[in-house]
Amino acid sequence: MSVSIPHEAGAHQHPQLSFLRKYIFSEDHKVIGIQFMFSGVIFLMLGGALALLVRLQLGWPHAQVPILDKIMGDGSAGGRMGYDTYNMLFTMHASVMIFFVIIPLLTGAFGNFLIPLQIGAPDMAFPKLNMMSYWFMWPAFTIILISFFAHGGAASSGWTSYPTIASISMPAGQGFESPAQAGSGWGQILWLMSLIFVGISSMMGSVNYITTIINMRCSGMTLFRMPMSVWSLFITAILQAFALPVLTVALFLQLMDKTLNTSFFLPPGTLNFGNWQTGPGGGQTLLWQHLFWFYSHPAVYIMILPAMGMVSDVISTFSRKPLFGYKPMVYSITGIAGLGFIVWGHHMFQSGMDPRLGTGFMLATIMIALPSAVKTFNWLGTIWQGNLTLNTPMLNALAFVSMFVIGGLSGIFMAATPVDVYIHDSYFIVAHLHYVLFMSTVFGIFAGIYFWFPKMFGRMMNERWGKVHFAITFIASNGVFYPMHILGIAGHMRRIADPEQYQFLKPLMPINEFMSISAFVLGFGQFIFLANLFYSVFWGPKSGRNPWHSNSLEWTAPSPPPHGNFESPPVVYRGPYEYSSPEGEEDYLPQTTPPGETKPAGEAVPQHA
Amino acid sequence: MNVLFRAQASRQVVVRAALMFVAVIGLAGCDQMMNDRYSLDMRYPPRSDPVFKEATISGEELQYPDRPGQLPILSLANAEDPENPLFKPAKAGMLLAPSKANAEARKNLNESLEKVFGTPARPKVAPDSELAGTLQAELQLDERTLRRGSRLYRIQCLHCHGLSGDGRGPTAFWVNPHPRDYRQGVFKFTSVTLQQSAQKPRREDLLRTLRQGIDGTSMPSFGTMTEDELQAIVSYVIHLSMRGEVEYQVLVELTQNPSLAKPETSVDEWIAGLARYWLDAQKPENEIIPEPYPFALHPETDAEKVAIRDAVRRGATFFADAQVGCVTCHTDYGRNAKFRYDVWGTLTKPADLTTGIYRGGRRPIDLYYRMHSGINGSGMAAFKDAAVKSGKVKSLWDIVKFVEILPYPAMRNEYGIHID
Amino acid sequence: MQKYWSVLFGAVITAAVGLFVVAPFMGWWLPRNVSSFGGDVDLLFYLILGITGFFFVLTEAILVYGIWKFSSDPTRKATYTHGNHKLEVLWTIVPAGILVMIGIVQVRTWENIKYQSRMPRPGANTQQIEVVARQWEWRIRYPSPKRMASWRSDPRLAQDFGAVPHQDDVHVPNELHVWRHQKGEEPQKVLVHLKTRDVLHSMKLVNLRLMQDAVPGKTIPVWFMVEEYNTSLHPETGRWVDGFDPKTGHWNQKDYVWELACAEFCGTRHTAMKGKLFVHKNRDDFLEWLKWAEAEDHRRTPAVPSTEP
Repeated sequence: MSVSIPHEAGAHQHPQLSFLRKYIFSEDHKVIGIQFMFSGVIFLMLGGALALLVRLQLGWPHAQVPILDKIMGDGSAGGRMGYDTYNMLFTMHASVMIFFVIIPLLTGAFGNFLIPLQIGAPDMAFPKLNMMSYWFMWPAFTIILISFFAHGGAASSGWTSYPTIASISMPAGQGFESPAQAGSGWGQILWLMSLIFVGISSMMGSVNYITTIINMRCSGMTLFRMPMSVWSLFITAILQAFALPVLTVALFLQLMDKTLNTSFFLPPGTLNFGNWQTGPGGGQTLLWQHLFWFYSHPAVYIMILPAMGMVSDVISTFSRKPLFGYKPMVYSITGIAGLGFIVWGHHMFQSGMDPRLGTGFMLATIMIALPSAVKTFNWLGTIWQGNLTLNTPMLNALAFVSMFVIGGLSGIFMAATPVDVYIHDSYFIVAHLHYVLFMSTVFGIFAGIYFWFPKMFGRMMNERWGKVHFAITFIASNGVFYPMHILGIAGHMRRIADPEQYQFLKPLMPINEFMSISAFVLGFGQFIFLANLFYSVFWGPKSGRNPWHSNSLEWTAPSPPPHGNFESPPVVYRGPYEYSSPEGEEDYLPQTTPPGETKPAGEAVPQHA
Repeated sequence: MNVLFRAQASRQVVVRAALMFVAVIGLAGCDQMMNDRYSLDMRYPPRSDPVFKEATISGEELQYPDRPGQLPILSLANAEDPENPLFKPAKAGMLLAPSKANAEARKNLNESLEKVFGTPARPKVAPDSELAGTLQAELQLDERTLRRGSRLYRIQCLHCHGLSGDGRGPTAFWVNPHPRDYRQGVFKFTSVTLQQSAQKPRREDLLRTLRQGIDGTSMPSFGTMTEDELQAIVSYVIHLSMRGEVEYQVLVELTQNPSLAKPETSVDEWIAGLARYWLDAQKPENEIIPEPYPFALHPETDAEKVAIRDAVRRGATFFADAQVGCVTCHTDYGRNAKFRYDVWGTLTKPADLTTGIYRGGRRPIDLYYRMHSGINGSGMAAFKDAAVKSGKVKSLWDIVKFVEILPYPAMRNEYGIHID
Repeated sequence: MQKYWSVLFGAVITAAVGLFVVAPFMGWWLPRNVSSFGGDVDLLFYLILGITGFFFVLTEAILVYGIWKFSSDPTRKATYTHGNHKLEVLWTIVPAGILVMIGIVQVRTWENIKYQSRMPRPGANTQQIEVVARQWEWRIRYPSPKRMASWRSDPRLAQDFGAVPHQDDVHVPNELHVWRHQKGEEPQKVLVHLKTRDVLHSMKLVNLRLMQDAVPGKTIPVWFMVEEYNTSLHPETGRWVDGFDPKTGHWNQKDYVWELACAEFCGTRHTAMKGKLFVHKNRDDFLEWLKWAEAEDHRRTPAVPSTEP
């Protein structure tokens, strides 16, 4: 292998920017992406800590936890975690993980970092809008953190914030606490405000992504030469652009219900909460559920599609084999996105919605399993007869595939309406959503971080600790989430603080204990990842341009790419997955290598395995 | 227990053992986490919130109760603040801060309370006198029952009613009406003829509240628990109430008389006095025995219906009496009733009698009890004498019958009562 | 050495399958089904479990084998292929067919459980109960024995039970009493009028495979029919105690304790918002209980001192 280091001419063409403009209020999509990434990782720690406290309560529901009993409860709590605290914990765990970890990491971090690099653009179409989309997250971050210290604690109605428990308000002039429960007062108001900012931020991001992908592809980069990451981010951006306004409207309506005494979600008649009465309203309780799920079901795909795209890239690269069925993969993503808009009702099968409507939603929901199945088979097809390099990104990507199978298949149970009658709002759904959002998306994110880290920082992450981290995460996370299926089948309700209240749940307590222990292993295992991440940013070995011998455009740019990304505008001659092509001498053929040339241009360093 | 279930249980023992092995490795030193009772080193916290020199009821009427997240009396910090709704010139000096008592005496008080009443994990009622045996036998305050009660209380009641029964658990501030503070020794719903100041509930009264819950408040029904579980909780609540009231009464003495350095004797005196109240309340001769129900259960004949109609009209007349009648508080049948302070310093209001929701229970006998002896601490007076003396009704059953039909439009029509 | 990673994947997947095999024997499985439609739900569950289980094992086996077989080998080059049209068609059509099949077979059960048209009509033979959820208990209203008798003489009188409470109705918190339907006889259906006074709640009866949200401002009809019974008059306490196993004649059998849970988050004490389902042997036994409950709920004399257990 020849090693040549070209002169990084493009790196200093732009005028020197001050530190503040370069790293804080940056308009550079890569810096913004990395900002999103670190914000997301920090909130991942917060969300994880909340999850561990939830597991602590569920594993030992009557326990008096040393140290924590002093922090969590006041003198009259008798050393136990209060129910209100527990309700706040699971609500904020979900809210933080969904709105402050997964969405910023997937669309914010990877969307920003990858789109211009992979389509050969110097930057986003609207760099200032891009910067705003990150800085609109900061009010959201601040408000959600403040809400933990609000009177009554942070929001406690579940991340779905169903009325009337979330939306109920006091008579005019009687303050903003809620008669329904502690966390539905100020905490809920702050939660709504925070989410409105998240929504605006995502909205700006999605407009930017769509414009950039449509207008700024480099010469030769046809739509069907785009890597799957870009395709999935493109579809995700479209989903966001169409679905988010609905959520934002719903959030505003509930905010008005809570602060201006409107009654969009209050039913006719009065509601009684002990000495407090509300109403009479004139609205519809179920309206919120329709609006919320009209966004939040597509949001489920927003939270998985980018991971699917990234995993496709990683698997193809390390299988040294073209992606199996590129076009079917693209059509599948599109199919998921299309169907994703007409299945929201499956969250409402038991809600009191007309059951005939449920039948329609059921049929649509059942069919959405199809594109997911096609994708899985194509990933398996990619691996088959490949030459697999089982390094950290690949292992995480393979974990994504194997866990997504579980998450996908368990979805069919819920889609079947009669079975859903039984397992709705049980731990079966908790298992399902964690298999999709944690086991799939988070493994996808890990794969993405390990894979593109060299491009982000020009250094490699430690491979050995990466593998240790993977093994612990893979085993422990299955230990946490897999038994949830069993709990759900046995009828364990979700969102309950004390399973021992029910006789039929008492035999399940050993499982709950086991899951909690696994959760602690899982949680503390992530410190390995954090240490690896922060150490490697500064002291990891230099990576060079293309450590993975990958084909797509970002690997032809220097690592890390300078402002403007490429030394000269790249020209693309082929698709991104030409591995082991008979045309080339090496087992990869970058998109920029002109036809006829058999060797990839640029440097090539020994592969890290 | 049948064989199948036992086999299942033994399998779980194996699983548990295996998991415990893992748990011990993972959580070495956290042995306390596995327990389902209070930890042994936990103590009842000494009372720090203000005590009343004399429990009074404010006459001021308010449109709304206190807001969620508040309990009207939380601290003495602003007790003398004119903005504080509790501050009244008449009340100045009525609120006493435990912190003003002699520190040494307070310590002694805690020690002697612990000697008699034990700790949350090891509760007992063991005064140093011959009373102990009587209490333990007649009020079921033996240690075994109390320990069981303490465990159940910790799981089911603690988060509202608090560690010491102070009605200030973590949830207490967010539900309105607030959970009962047992330490005042006052219970609302009793069926005892004794005068209100000496009125303790019978065990059946507490059991009824546990079984039926208190509709219209956040107190749910615990009827699905077994009889002896409920009995154990009742015993523990009596224990908390006696302990709290002794502490309360001695603190009143201590704050007024800082030179009283040895409160042990006061503790003994108060226990003896309170024990008598509690024991008296359980005596059959002190139970309210109503006149026999004078009406037909399912009126069929005209005569039966006329009898009820006349009774209902008599009840309505008394209800509407501007001097002594119910309407003076239950304005517009309770639909426009206002909030007032009760003896716990929380806000409460006369019931809305058109909803069919009765906190003290919906059985006719419950309504009778309420009218007979009032609702302790709330301002609802005993009407036993006033009603009959007024000459407007023959017996309390007339008013009970009237109140019973109020929520039902069809019955109001039938008996010619118009409330709109 | 790299290929040994497949062992990790294989082990985790095997453990996952193993848990599903072991769980039923540990008592970690579907609770006893006692409702008329629960069998259909379970059948569908097992059907989907079979299909998904098959595809789960299939795909994971391919994955694990693929990792083992195709892990890095410097002497070998990966096969250069962009896909296979026939395979794509095959693995689109086959799952689509199976999914459509799953979709179609469930419609009837779903209709049966939830459609308004399948709800029993109020009348002489329908048990009617009003369940009002509130934070955090179930307040349940039964017709008085007298009111039930009137439905026998004039079924039209049964129409207004859900909307119009009577003064002599019987209120029992947290205890849902119904009577059993005996197979082969006239259906004994239960019609529940489900309401809530404050926030969303959900009535979940795991043994009936039934769940329905209660929505503020709405009355939602729910029906079920129970085919076994679990309560009988306990001679010692004089009360109807659940957990009664008709075969052995013993009380307190865990298999016969059927709990009612709240499954939609409803606030602080959501976790403890529970009730119990009491199924009586027949209408007569139920009526006997109802008379007892009526006497309790309309008690006009002091309670008899409760007998010590």
